[in-house]
Amino acid sequence: MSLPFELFAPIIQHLPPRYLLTTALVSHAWYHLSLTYLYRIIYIHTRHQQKRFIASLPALPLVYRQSIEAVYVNAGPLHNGPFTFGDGMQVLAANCPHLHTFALVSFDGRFQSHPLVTLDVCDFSVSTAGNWKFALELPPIASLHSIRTLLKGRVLLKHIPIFHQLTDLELSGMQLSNLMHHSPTTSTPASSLLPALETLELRCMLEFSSLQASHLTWIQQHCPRLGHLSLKTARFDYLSPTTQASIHPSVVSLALKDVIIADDAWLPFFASVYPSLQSLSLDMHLPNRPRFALAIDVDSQTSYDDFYQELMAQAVVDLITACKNLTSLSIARLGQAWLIAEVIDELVNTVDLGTWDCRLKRLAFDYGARHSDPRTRRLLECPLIMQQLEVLHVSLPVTRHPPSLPPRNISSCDQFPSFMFPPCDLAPEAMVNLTSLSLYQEYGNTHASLMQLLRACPALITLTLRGIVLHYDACQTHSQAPSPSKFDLVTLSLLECDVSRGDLFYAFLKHQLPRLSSLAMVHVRLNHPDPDPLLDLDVALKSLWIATINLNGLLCAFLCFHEKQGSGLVVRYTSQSVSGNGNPNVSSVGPSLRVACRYADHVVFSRVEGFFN
Amino acid sequence: MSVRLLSSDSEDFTVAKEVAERSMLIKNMLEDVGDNDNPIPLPNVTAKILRKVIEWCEHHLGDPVTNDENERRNTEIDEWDQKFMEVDQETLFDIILAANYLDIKPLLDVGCKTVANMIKGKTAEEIRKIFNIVNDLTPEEEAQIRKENEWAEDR
Repeated sequence: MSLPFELFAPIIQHLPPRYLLTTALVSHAWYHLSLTYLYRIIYIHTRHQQKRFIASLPALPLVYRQSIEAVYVNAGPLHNGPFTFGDGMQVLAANCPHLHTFALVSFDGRFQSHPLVTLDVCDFSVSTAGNWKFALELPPIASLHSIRTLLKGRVLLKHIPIFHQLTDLELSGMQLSNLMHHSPTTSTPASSLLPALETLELRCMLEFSSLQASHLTWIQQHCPRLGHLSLKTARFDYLSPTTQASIHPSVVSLALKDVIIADDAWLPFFASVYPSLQSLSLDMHLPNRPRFALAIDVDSQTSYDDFYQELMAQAVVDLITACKNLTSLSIARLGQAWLIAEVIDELVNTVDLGTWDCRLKRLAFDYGARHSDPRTRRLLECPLIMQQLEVLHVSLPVTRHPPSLPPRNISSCDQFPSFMFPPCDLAPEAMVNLTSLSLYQEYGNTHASLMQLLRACPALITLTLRGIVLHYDACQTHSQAPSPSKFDLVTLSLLECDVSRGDLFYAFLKHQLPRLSSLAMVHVRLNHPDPDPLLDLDVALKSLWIATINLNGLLCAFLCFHEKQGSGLVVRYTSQSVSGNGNPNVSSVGPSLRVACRYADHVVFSRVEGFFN
Repeated sequence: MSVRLLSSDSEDFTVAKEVAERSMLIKNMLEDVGDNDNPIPLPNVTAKILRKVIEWCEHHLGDPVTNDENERRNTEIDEWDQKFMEVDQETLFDIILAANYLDIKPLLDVGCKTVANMIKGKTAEEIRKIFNIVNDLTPEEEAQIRKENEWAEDR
């Protein structure tokens, strides 16, 4: 029995790149088919890989070079040191006539839209300061549609001939000013500079004075199809009361990242310019006082501070509730940490009062470490918000007394903030509908129970924990509750976590997560009674992302990855640690992390120290 | 409203119209012939396979149709489909051929993903055995292929 050859194409396109190396060796026909897919989308994980790819590209037959549509390069911390592509860009431009997308991707989440890695920490993103280094000298490529990284200064102007076809673009504030100079605001839609643009990321990087309403007007006129607008490290100063808002109805998603708002009048202004928002992401610094208070005599100010803060919280709430179609809300910073608690509390009030018809499916907010009080609980127990919520990212408070005792010796954890998260007297239906949960703690000393988390969130598919001390066990009260023996979790990511009992954790992964398909452990400290433990999984993984694992106090120098074939374990992969110049260096010392599973589509390993520093 | 389907070995199946219309081939035929009680002959599908295909279409009747190629490629095979595809290799290939002939894209996707999973972790020689393929590459060519594409190993 055999399949006709034309059916191998739809089969092979379901295979990730590494299997295409094997299928290419089956026969001539399979070789040709495999390589066409292998070279369609290029993923580059490490600098060593990048070097080998660039070196082999010119010799590659044209037919495969022609099939290259997209290049994704991991520019995140898996590299040692700052990212450089050097002459690689010229080689790409000269050899890839159909290149469609060039993107630098990093840990703060953008690999996630692709099948490669589903690591989602974007709402508590890593610092953006380093992004300066990524400004690229991308030579113009006639077929390019999407540039998802910042180009170096005036290099951008060379790309103007292809502007009409761009769907994604990243600009600096300076570049935006240059473009405004080059092509001023006009009244005819036909002359818009970026008619196809759907996504624009503007990074002002503080070198730039400030954004004015005129910048937004220019964007509105030149990007008539824009759906996603993100403004990064920008400053919004005084807004003249006479400024007319030019409505930009195509924009459905607005993200402010590390933005300084010096005048609260901008908040209602945003609401009127972008009436169609479905997604709003706020990471900004608000003024301490609303504008009208600036005229008041300084001496009499202090007693008004609380009042002003209340007004400021109300202004943020007004912006949020003005977006009638909002399904996704993320609040990372508002300047004062407790202001977020105030805003969330006020949102719960407006929902309770029936004045806000909350349609959120996705909610992310970061209270900061000290200001998460019973209000977290109030939110979790607000059914009108939680019932339809699918994705929740929340920061946790420091647990009251870090227990030196194992959880089983604690009778209950019902106070809040409690010994462990979630507390055992949390309303049982609080988190039942969540499919994705991300918990974060800045100082890394909040304790959570894996068992209790999964019991409280039975629908959970994705769990991300960052800065958490992770226990497998629950307290005695929890432990007595009935519990399913298996959970549906598909994606588990641990970042900067301590795992107190590695043996229990390993056994949990093996026996209780039959659907696990993506596992990321980054900067994790594992304590395991066995000095050389094997994480033995009975599943097929889509991705395995391991970086900076500390096993019983020693940094793991290698990943030893076993594949189960037949009845035995086959070592498929032993990582070589790569030194700064890209040459494999096998002399490093340290234990190896051993992982076994049926197979894994993507395996990434790094031993970089000081990962998040 | 029901439709009659006739398998290649002349077995007559009566199914609900909306079930049969999961197949673009049948849907187009029905549009062409209009209301009509004659069975639709499916000369490329045996009764055994047609029964399986109908079972699949009935289970997935309410599924939303997605045309987003990326979404279709990235979704995991669900548990029911996994069980459904636990058949011998010949039946699996027959289902894929039938899905292709009847033009039922989501079923073809599930079938192809199942076969893709069979390929994962196998050596080239094992793959040849599964699909009954003769190796026409010389050892020199094999070495050349390995060398050219070595960068794609995750390291």
